[in-house]
Amino acid sequence: MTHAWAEEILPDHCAKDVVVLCCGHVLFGDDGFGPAVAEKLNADSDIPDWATVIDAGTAVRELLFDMILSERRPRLVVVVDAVDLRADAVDTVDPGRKPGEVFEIPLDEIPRVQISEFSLHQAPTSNLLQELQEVGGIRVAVIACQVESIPREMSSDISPAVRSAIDRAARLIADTYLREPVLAEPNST
Amino acid sequence: MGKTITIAPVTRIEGHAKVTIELDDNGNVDKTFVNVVELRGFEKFCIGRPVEELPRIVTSICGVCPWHHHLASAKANDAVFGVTPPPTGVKLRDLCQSIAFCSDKILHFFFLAGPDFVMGPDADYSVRNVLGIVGANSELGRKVVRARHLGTQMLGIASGKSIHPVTAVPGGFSKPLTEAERQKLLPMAEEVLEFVKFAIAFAKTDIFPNYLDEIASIGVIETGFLGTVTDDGTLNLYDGKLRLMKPDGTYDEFAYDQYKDYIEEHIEPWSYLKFPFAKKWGAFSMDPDAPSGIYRTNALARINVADKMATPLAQAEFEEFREKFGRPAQQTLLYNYARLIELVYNAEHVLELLNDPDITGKETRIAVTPRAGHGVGCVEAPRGTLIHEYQTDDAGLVTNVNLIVGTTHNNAPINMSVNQAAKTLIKDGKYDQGTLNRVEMAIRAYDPCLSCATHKLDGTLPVRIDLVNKDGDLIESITNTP
Repeated sequence: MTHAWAEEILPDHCAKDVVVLCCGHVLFGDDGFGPAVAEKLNADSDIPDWATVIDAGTAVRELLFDMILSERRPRLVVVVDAVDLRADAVDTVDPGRKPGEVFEIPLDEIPRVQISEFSLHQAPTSNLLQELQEVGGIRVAVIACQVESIPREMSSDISPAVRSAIDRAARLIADTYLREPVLAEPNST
Repeated sequence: MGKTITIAPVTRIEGHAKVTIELDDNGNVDKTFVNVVELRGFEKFCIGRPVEELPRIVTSICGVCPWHHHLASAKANDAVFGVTPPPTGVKLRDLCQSIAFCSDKILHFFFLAGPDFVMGPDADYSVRNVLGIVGANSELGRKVVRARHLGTQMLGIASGKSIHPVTAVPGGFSKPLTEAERQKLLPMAEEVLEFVKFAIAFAKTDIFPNYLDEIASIGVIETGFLGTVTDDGTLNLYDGKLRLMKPDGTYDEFAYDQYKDYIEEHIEPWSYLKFPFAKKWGAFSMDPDAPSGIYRTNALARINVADKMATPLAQAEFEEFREKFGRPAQQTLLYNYARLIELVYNAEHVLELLNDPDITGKETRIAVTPRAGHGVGCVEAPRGTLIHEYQTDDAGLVTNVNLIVGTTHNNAPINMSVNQAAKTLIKDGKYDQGTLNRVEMAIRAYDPCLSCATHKLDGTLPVRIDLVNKDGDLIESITNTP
């Protein structure tokens, strides 16, 4: 027997129009940037009822699987993540980022072949995010922060450069994505 | 000239997991090496911290099994403090574990392993994924995601948080379950059970019969098995004693805190990750013709070591499985079948607990006092037997930590299964995309932590095979990622 309360059981990451997914491993230094931004937003920002900010940690894969299959999906997903795009580290689409720099990465500018260098952990790579957009009809924005370093062993210490970026990133996300509702795309479900 | 094939998942949480296959001069498999994830520095990170913080900290170790680390840590805390939680506290922990198990196994079977079977290992990767299943059977897709939604909501109601749990504490559980919450959970649990019954029936009728050849051949090795049972041999995922079974079916049983009398960790120079083995069985060896000390954990192991299941529908499935495959069953792809039997048990067990009068009891925890102590906490996680061992000083601060996670127990077996799969599938230097897929299936059956490297929405384990000559020059590279 299936109960009728379909809407009632929808988790926020499917039910809300705007979902901010903050990804990262809090036990690997600067990789904890995403969860720190989630904490800041949830503590200090007025999150409207059509949005949610989630500290996805390292469990984002499960949220995205649920999202793509759900009949009710967000209109916009904002992924917040620490990245390493320094010119000397990888051959990137946008070399020369400085530690603590916060920037948006346009999804369609990321070559699919760059998947191994895009993220420091099991956060969604460009392939997965592009599928979310192309197959799921969900707009995706990626807000990244350049790390100073990622420790080889577990540590909860975030570098000063990245720590100073947390407030900036939270303000950017709140101002850009949490002020006005997102309208449905034409012909979207 | 011999060649080396490297299968390298292209994203990792902390370093790379990769598979290396060395061919001899005739193009047949000589050696294989599989490196899986390990938790560098966790022990050192915990030293000096109040031990009661660990149940909260460990949920960050792995985003896939947070509840199980949370509970193993809480149990280790109980042992360190020398306390026994009240029955309601134990049952609430058990309830959350079973709900989490259900969600996890639905995820693994339908999103990760299932596409191999539903779409077939030779299907193009673009459809060999959960979206392919939905495309082929949209009703199934809707049922799957609805069951997942139910699991998320149920954990949120029972514990206050579905992600990053905090409610298991030393001495019990911090949040009682109200009668109103119980009434809300009951129909949800009933619906999950209905889905689970559908899922295993679907798998037995429409999936497994089409892959009997693969089940009989891919990754098949001979090992022992480790799992948790109660005093009468019933499988229990939350608490009991450890049963370590040899390939011939005989076994030893021991309490959690005796695990080091039976399990030792071997080191190989080519891997950061250690290789636990049964030291009373002899010296460690992964020689496929003469393995020694090797045991497996996770679903197939648990079904093998148990004498019975605690709930009726699961017991019926268990009996059918044992009738078909014997004891112990060694075929690695049977992990996927065993996983569904455990799913049935967990769905029934959730309802059992919700109908237990103790579940809404008010006494959920007892107080603890910091002290010098030693404790081992263990639960069965989806990925295998999870052991947390802690030691504290007089102030209750951690002085020593040791963890053995499920995937670590399976480190040697995964290596052996890949060796077997590669030797079976790669002959005379011939291999192709289908070969790669089938090697993936052998790895994915274990549901190891390296599955978390999945970066594709389709759930494919991203792999690349690099064929290099003895000079290290790349001859050929094939991959399942664009």
